[in-house]
Amino acid sequence: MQILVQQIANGLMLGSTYALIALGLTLIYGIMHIPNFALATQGMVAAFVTYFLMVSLKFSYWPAMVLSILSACALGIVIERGIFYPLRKSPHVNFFISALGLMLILENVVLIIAGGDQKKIDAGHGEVLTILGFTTTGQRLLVIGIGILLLAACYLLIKKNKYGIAIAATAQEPQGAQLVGINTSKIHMMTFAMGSGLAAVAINLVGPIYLIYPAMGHTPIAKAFVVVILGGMGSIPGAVLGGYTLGLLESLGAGYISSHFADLFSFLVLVVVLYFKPTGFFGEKQ
Amino acid sequence: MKYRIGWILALLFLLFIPVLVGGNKYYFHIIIMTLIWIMIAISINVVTGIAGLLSIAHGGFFGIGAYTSGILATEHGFSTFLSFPAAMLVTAVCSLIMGFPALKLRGSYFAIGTLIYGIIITLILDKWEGLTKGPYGLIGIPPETSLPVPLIGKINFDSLTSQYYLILLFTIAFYLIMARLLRSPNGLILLSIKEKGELTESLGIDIRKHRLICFIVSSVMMGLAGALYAHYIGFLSPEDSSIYMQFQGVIFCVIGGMGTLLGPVIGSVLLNVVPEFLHFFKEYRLVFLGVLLIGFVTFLPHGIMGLIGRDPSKKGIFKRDG
Amino acid sequence: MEILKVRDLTKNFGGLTAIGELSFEVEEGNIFGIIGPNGSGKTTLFNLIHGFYRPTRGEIVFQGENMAGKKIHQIAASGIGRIFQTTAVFQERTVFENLFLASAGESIHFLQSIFWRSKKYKQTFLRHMENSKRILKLIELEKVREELAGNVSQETQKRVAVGMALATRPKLLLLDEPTGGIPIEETAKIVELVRKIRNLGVTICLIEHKMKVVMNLADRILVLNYGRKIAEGDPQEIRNHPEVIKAYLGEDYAVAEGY
Repeated sequence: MQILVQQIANGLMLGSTYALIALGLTLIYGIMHIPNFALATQGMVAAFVTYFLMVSLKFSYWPAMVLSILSACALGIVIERGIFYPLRKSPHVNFFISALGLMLILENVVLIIAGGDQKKIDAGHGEVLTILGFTTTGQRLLVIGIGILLLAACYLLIKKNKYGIAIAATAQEPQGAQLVGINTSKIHMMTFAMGSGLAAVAINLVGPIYLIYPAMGHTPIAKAFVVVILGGMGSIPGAVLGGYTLGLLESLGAGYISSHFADLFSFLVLVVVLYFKPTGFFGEKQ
Repeated sequence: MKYRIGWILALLFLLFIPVLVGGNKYYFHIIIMTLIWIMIAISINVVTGIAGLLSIAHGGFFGIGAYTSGILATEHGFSTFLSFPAAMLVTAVCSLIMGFPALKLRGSYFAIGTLIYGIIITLILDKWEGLTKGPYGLIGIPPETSLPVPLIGKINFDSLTSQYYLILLFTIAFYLIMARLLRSPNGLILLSIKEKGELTESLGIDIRKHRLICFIVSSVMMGLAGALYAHYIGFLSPEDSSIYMQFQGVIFCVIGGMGTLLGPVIGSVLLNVVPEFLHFFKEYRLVFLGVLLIGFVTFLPHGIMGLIGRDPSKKGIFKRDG
Repeated sequence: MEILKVRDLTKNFGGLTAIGELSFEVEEGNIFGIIGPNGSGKTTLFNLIHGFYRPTRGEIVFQGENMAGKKIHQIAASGIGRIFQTTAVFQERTVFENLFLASAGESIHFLQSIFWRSKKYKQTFLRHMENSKRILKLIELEKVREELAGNVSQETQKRVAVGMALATRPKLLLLDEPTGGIPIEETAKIVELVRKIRNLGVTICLIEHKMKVVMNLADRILVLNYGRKIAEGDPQEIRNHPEVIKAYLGEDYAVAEGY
């Protein structure tokens, strides 16, 4: 029973991370149809910005994180305007290839500047806590807490706030949206910025738990893509639920089957699901 | 064809490379690796440039071919006359199993499906330590088994020169296969499927069958390239099958010109050989690659071949005849 | 002799009935026109016959065999050809290549194509080359044989599409608005082409908005509205049919298109 609770807690933490990135990706991929393979790498850049702010400029964790997220959003806008907007009329596959190029650039620039060894962000919440009979660290709880808060906020934003509704409208019916006076250009920038910000939050939150290194975006982005597809392209509940499901699957798999094969296990499950339900649990948002 | 002289000169140049290189093992190595990259790029060009399928599993097939031959040769003492066909067979079976369901998916879903396969393959190679030695890597892979030749004796493959000629032979074979495909009716069918699959289907053509066959053939090519790589380098690690390794191949094709004959060759040569001469670029090589990639996709989507290609309106597959 | 018999054909999309209990017959060698207001289900009907959609209920009997539920390429191979409203040719291939593709279809073996080319392969190949050349002559496009299909005029592209459809040697040809996008002056050429095809022994099903064209060409006309048959008969009957006139009342396009 102990182990179960422990693994569930772990799973929730992982799930929050995946859900955040998947949400960012579903906004960018599901709604703007840009398969941005570099999203998690953008998050990595944000984490390194945090590290730099904390180590060289002696910022403390929270201010550093806020600044880093803002910079991630700004970078997102630059990327959207500079790289993806010019490609809007080309064949779809060109988005994917450009995203690869972006990933190469971001990863290797960071590599050159910061070096390849893993860095540690010391957020100061590393103390071990024992709650309800299971052990965890403050940081892990933060990940879960902030994750859930942020996801709920995003959900409300999209559903209730006028900007959110504008985003949904632009996604479903771009020309109609323009006719009603929505500035689709601005919406695209905002959506991309939001997606980038979410990824930045995710990586920043887990940064103190795991070490950060330039190539750290590789596995998360692959998983995020799978979550987005399985949850349904453009579906926010799908991305969130999918992210948590994956996190729990991995954690329980690691705990009960074998941690060595945890990753493999989760991907195999995903293949099976993809085969049986190619449009995802919540279908294509149309 | 006035281009024929060009081909003959190129062939002569290639045959004399070992002489031109002199004793410089480093340059020799770069050239041999470039050949392997050309083989990789050609395989990717066949599945993506000709059939229009962006498969991200192909890096995995390279790894499967490499490890199969490597393991059989190292652990079980197979000769390469057996391990190479075995590698091709195993790759073919794997790609059949993976390709069949994956091809039910359309567009992006297909790419993601193959992405997962690619990741799974790398994970299996990494985790199944009993079979592959996992992250420690498979070492001590012998060069190809000596080839008995009547009258001359035996050809050994333990020198750089012999490896070079062997790999060159296969590279040329790969190129000829791709050229033959592109100029054949089935190449025409694949190109039409790539452009408008529904229209092709309404002509009575079973597009899934054609895509599947192309998928498998290109996978086997990757596997074969992997096997050659394994016996050349002598050791393998799961990284050699990674999706990121394959991305590089895709990049070479894009920059050279996806879907063209010379594109994969030019892309691979340019991006493997040129950086060697620009030493200060070495550190920035990958950044530069990323920039190039975005630049090409935005401004030169048909790659370098698109830039210098012959008049597109005369690019018909059939030679003019009466 | 009916070549096509549709019985109680129904297609539902969720709650929407696109085609409802449709029954009609097409005589072999006829030009069979299908008309109706926008959204009446004409293209959906073609999609069903052609195999792009599966019927919810009902039968599509072609030459005695029920085609409902078969795959597109199987139906095409049985002898039902289609010329699409748009995207009817491969823009990045030459005119001749388009024709050759249509002619050769499934008959060329993959591996033989790459590796060894047997005598049988060469014979098949030559046969399709000859067939393609013959059709090229028929549609009078020898001059543009090596031009990319994307580079020629719309009318020429339509001819190529017709050529391709013919190359598949269909018994029944589905023509979806063959004069779509063609200026009024050029429609006569298309009409002539359609007649030429019928005279080769091909039965034709025709969707058209231009009334003059349909009345001119069709031997029999089916009128659809909201997915159901509201009239069927020869052009004279249809022209004066009260239901048909009612359905078209108020449709601006009929006036604009020259009715």
